[in-house]
Amino acid sequence: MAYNVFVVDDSAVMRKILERSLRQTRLPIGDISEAGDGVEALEKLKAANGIHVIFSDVNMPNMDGLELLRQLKQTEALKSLPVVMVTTEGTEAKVMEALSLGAAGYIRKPFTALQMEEVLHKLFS
Amino acid sequence: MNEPEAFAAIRESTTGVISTMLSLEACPGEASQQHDPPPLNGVMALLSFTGDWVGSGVLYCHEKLACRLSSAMLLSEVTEVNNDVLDGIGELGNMVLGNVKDRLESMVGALAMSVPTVVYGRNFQTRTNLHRNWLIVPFQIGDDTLEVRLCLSPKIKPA
Repeated sequence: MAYNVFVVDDSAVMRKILERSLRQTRLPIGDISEAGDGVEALEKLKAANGIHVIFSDVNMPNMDGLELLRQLKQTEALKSLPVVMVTTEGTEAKVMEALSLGAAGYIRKPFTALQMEEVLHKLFS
Repeated sequence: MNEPEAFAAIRESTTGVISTMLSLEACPGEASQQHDPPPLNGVMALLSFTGDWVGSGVLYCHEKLACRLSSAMLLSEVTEVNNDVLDGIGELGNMVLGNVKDRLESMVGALAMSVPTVVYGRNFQTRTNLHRNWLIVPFQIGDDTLEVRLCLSPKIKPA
C-alpha cells in the first residue's frame, strides 16, 4: 500500500525538498499534495480523500502549523489524521506544545531522508 | 549574551544546515563585531527576533552563491536569481537563524522569530536602532562567501 502525503510549508522550495526526501525513503509513497499555509491546507484537506499523513511547518503566515493542528483535531473527519511537525523550532517547550496538541511526530530542520523514514516507520509499523 | 557562545551557535548552526540540507561544506572564517557593516550586493534573508531580547539576524551572499545554493537545494541548475532562489535563501536563513535562536534561548530566554524577508539588489545597507554591534561570521563555500549576522539587545522593561 502506498502512503499519500500532504505537505504544508510556506516555502515552495522546502515543499520540493520535503517531497524529494519522502521519495528517497524506502517506504511506498503515493500521491503528495501540498499547501502554502494553514488556511489553504484546511480547505484542501476538507475536500481531499485518502491522505495518510500530514507534514506541516510551524511558522507560516495566515495560519501557523500549531493552529492548523488545533483545527484539524477539532474537525471530525480529519482529527485522526497523523500530523508531523517539520520546523526549525526545536526547544523542548515547543516540542511538548506540539505533542500536547496531538502532533504524531516532530522533525527539526535541517533533516535527512533517514529521519523522515524513521518517523514514517514509527507511524505505520 | 555571551558573545563567544553566540559566535559558536552561528558557526555550528550554519555548518550543520549547509552540510545536512545541501551536502556542501561551509568553512567558518574569522568572526567580527561591527556597528555599521559595509553595504551588501546580492541576496539577503532577514529575520527578526522578539522576547526579553530583540533584534535581527541576516543570512547573506552574492548572486552567484545564491544560485549555487539554490541549485543544491533543488537538485537542478539555477543560473540567475529567480523566485526559487529568493525562496531558497529565505528558507536557508530560516533554518540557520532558527537553529541559532534555539541555542541562544538558554542564555537570553524565549525568543520568537519572524518569517523571513528576502532582499535582492545592489549596494543596500542594513541598519539597526539597537545600540549594539552586529556579530558577523563569514563562511567559505568553495570560492564563495556566505555571511551570517546577528544583532540582539535586551529589551528595556518599564520601571
